[in-house]
Amino acid sequence: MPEREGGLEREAVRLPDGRRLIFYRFPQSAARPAPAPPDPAPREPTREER
Amino acid sequence: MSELRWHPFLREWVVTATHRQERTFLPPADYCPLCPTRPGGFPTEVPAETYDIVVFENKFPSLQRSPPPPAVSATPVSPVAPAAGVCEVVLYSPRHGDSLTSMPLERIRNLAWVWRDRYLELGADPLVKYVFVFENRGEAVGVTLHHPHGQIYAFPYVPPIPERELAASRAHLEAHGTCLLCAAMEAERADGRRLVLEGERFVAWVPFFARWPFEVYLAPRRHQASMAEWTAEDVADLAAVLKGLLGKLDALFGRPLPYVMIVHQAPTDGASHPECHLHFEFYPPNRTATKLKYLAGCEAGGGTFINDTLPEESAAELRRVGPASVAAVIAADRAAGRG
Repeated sequence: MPEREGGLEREAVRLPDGRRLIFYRFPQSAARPAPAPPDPAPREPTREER
Repeated sequence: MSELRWHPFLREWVVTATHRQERTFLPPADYCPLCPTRPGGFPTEVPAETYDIVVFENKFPSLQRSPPPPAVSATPVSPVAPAAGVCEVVLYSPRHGDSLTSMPLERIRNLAWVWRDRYLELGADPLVKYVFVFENRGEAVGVTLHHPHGQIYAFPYVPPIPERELAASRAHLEAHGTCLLCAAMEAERADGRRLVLEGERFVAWVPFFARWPFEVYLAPRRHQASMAEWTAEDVADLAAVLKGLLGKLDALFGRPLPYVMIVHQAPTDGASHPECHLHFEFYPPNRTATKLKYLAGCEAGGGTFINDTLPEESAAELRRVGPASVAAVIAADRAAGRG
């Protein structure tokens, strides 16, 4: 997991179907991976609603 | 089926990608394929309970590293070619409701480093001639997944709009010895009427020739060909100006504004590009709170945009709403305990 500019680290994995996925992490960053609580998006009106 | 078909009249490639008809279309938030995979939940695209920023190869790619041979034969005037390239998805945050407007500046800075890393890695592939970073936001511009994300297309050729832009920039450089975008930006800064937001290193403005009602350019003051030249100071200022600009767009009509955001930068074709000046372009489709601009006959068939607004008035409106300055963006970020 080599460190890159900006303090980022990366871990590449293969998904079951062979596609590549990279986790980027920022160990020096105060913005740790945020917990992901249910957080419904403020959504835009749909085409019908518009 | 997927292939490149040559458009002999416009002299550009068209990508056919019929498998994309099957892609996930506006799933409910509970079944977002871009959220982390929660314990006991359905498996999303990301096999982890949380993440910081994730990049993965698109499940429904227009361009593929190992594309199938074209399913059709060339015609006498239209060559065909495999749709080679890479299509990546960039997940900005594990939080479904996040957006570039709401994220802490630190996360936006981190995203900028990821963009740069992708530019360097994809651009180092001999197949890739152009790394195209973009974001579509909102159903009005065709978004099918609302989770905050952008995309990167690694093209095996320089796409036609950047190619035209580079040709114009080369011609200007040869004729005047200066960068076209530097000249345009300095003219805007001297005039001032179309400026939207200025940071120490990046400037946002509505271009004199805007084709969309609230079209905005954002560029580094210093001549930079690509993200490869970014420093920590550049990234910090970019994040603040970007967040401030998008805050202004959202404040225009009091709700998240749909937009297309694209980045033009130096091709990765092995050549030197002194004519190129990295910049972002934003095309929100709204011309009012409730009316969209469509690409109709004159635009789609004639190639001439008709802008129903004056760029000077659009810029004045954008200056009036949202964060007053980059300093205000940074101060708000610190007040939120994020600095």
